[in-house]
Amino acid sequence: MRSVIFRTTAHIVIGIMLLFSLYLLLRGHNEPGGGFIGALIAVIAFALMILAESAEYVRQRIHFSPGLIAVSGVGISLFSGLFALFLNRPFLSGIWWKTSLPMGTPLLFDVGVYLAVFGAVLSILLRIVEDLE
Amino acid sequence: MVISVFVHLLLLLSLSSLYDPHGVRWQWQWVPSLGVSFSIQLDGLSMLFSWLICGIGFLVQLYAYHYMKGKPSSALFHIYLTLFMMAMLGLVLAGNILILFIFWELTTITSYLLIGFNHDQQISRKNALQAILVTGAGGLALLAGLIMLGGMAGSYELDHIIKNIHLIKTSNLFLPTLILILAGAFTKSAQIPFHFWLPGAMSAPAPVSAYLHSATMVKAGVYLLARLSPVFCHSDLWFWSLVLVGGTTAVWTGLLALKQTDLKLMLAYSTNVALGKLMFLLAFGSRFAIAAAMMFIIAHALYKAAFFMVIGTVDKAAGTRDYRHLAGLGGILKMSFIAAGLSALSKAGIPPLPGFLSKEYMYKAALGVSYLPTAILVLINAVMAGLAFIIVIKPFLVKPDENSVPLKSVEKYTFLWLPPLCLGFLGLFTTLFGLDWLNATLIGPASIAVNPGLETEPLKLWQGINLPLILGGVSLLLGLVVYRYHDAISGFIDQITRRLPSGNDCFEKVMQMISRLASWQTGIFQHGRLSDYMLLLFSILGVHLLWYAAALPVPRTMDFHGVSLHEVILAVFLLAAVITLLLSASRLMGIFSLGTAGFITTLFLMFYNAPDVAKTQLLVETLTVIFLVMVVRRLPGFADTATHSAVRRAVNAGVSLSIGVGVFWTLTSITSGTMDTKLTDYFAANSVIAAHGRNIVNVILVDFRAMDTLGEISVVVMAALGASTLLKKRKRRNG
Amino acid sequence: MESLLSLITGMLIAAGVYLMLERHILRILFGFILISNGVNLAILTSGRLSKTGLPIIPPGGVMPDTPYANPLSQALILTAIVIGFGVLIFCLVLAYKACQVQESADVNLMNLSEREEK
Repeated sequence: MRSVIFRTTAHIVIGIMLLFSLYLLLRGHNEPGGGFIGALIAVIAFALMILAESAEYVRQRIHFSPGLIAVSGVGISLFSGLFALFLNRPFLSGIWWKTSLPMGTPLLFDVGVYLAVFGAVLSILLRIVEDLE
Repeated sequence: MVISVFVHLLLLLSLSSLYDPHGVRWQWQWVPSLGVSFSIQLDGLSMLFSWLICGIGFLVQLYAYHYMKGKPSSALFHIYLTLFMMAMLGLVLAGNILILFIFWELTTITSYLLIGFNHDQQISRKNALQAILVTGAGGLALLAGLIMLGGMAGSYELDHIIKNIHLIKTSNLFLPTLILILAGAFTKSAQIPFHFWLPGAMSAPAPVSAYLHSATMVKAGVYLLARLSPVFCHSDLWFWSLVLVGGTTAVWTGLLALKQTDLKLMLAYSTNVALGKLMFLLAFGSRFAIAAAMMFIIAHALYKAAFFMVIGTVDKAAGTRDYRHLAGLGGILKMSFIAAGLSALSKAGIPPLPGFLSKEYMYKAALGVSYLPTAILVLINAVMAGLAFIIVIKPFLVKPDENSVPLKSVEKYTFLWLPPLCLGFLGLFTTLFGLDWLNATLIGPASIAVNPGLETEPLKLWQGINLPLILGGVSLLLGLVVYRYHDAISGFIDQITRRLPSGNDCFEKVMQMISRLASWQTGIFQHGRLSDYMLLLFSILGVHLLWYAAALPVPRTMDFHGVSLHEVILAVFLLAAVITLLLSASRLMGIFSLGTAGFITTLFLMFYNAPDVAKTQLLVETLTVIFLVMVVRRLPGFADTATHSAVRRAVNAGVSLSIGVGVFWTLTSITSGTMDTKLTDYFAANSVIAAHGRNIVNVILVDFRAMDTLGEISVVVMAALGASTLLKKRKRRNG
Repeated sequence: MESLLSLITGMLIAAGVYLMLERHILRILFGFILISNGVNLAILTSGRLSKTGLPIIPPGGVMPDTPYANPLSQALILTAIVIGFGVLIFCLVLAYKACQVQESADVNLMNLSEREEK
């Protein structure tokens, strides 16, 4: 299964998928997409990488522990909600810098969602694969 | 220890400085939405009890200092004792009946810790458990009663309740409320048939008995009834239950006290007697009765606490509390002997001690009712006097013989004799020199609190030769007779009581029945077959779904309008996939048909204009299949696992069909009605204007309802962490 | 339109419940997944169905043009899907571990809270 052709094409496809996942995350506020969908596509990309290489390889490539990514995702989402508190508005109210571009706390929140879902699902995926080996 | 003693004194002083005989109230908002405020009420009745709690508490702590010295965890003992004191003080100061209840339960809990303090002994643990179960059960009844009382009066504040008596009297909840509150008070104050826990609680160290079981905790029931007496005192049930229960308790436990050989148990039963007598007096409710009750509370607390401390000292000196083996203590425990003597004189009712005063007024009150209660009181007081003589004369004055145990001197420890001696002299001086003060500050205001309509009359020590005095003399003489023929009487009582079941035995039987019932029902419901649990849950769900779906009051219409052909075809495919899944014999076939069903669902989401949902569903479905395929190889095959019988499968099919039909029917009912689009319209209208996003679904997720999403990602992360630990743990064990 | 989806929902949930009442733990997981799908459809249906317009505002606009699908029910389903997925993965791992410990996939044999010492 781990032929040279599969591995080479896999890496290209993975790259495209990750780019696509980021694109979906960023455009989510205006068109179909968003943090969930982006994160799930990224996980599928890494699942492909596990098939092409190994779980260990994936762990090395992402540097951070997936559990840490997941927790920091929740942290970022929480943090994005705190901004509103400084402006005396309810927790998690959206604050915008520039309305023409998606620059505001809701985007930060969505990034948090992305990281949380990505980290959580990937961590289990890696663990199961390692457990099965 | 120093701190706890200091706390007692400080509280005593601060309360006294705040005290005003007309009553003072403080109130803080606590749970305003439930109408519960933390209110404190300090009137005559509260002050009387506060004095006893803090004053006797102070002396008991001093006594405990030497009594518990050298024992492990004596610091813990002082902490428990202080906690109990706080709880008890809160109870008598509470101005709100719910606050009162909270402190009531706190006294139950702290007393449990104290009764079971010698927790290395099985008997201690058993008795502590018995006490908390009996008083705790009564506490539950009390809670129900207090809530109903508050409901009737429209407020949980005590002063409101007292003001709105007319509302309570006319309510049809009056009777159940009264019964529940009486149940609470009778369990706490150890009245028949709940009297047995009090003697059982004697397994506690002596300071606990001196404090909890004479001066404070057992009086909580009396306090409660005194406090609520304005509300209930006009009811016949109140009068008769107090008279009957109090009278029976006093007579019966008096007889039981006479047959005891352990001095501490004898005192415990005589506490039962005193509590019964107090109930008796509260029932009369006349000015003499209330005054006598208040005086008796003081007198009893003083002499009984002193007695318990003396018996504790005797136990230290002789190593036993059995009066048959005790003699000649007077020579060794001189100070304790004086304390015990003063207490006994008070208990027997000999002037000028406080016991005499309360007895005088008791007879006055009883004569105002009729001769029968008077006769009963004479009998009870005779038993009390007899007990007083037995407790003092036998161990202290009789010369030692071959039965007696050797004694050692323990009076070098000051605090083993000073506190009881203080109590003895305190009683003497109060009646001799402080009666006017007592009348004006405590007994008068307290009597008014118990029965606001009363005219109080100051207590007087000497009222000339009259019927009460003569009756007092008669009961004293009878007490001497009881003392003289004690052996014969106790033998006779033993003969009678041996044939009757004791309260303790009944309690044991009830507990055994409860645990048998519990194991019986556990065997039925908790058999460990998980699929049977599932069946039970789902069948209940199915019945309810059908029931509610049928009961929804909307017209139901089927609406297939606008369904296109390819949807019908897909629906048929979906059905086929589901049937394949149900019948699949191999694991991979199952996953395949499950995936098919999931992807068809995704298509439906696409048709109905839910692009975000459809994409998410597609990706989730893909990942689910990936996960399942990875794990499934490590699971046993379908053929390797037992299946249900055919009958059971039919039952399962019936249950699942009923749930399916219920869901369908509920959905049809929902969609037949009109839809409230207020929220949807709001989100659509504000999506661009307020939240600068054109994808309304995403705006709802990350902005309008971001809190939901935050909760959701937390759940996902927690599920991931949980799964990771499961996998990790296993690995470590193997490695 | 709603009736078709109501029927499909009822069918998915009925099949899911039947599978959850089985003894093999994998079939119980299958049932769990089917019920999740059914519930998602139920939320969609109770928010009413629309084939006319996406819940997306065209560029430059402030309101969706045509009658649009209910965005609220869709947002709720999205949340439900992701939570359902997270819990499903947890259950899957739990089932996998339980099978390893009990050496059987029969839930009626999984009634020991601790593994018996051999």
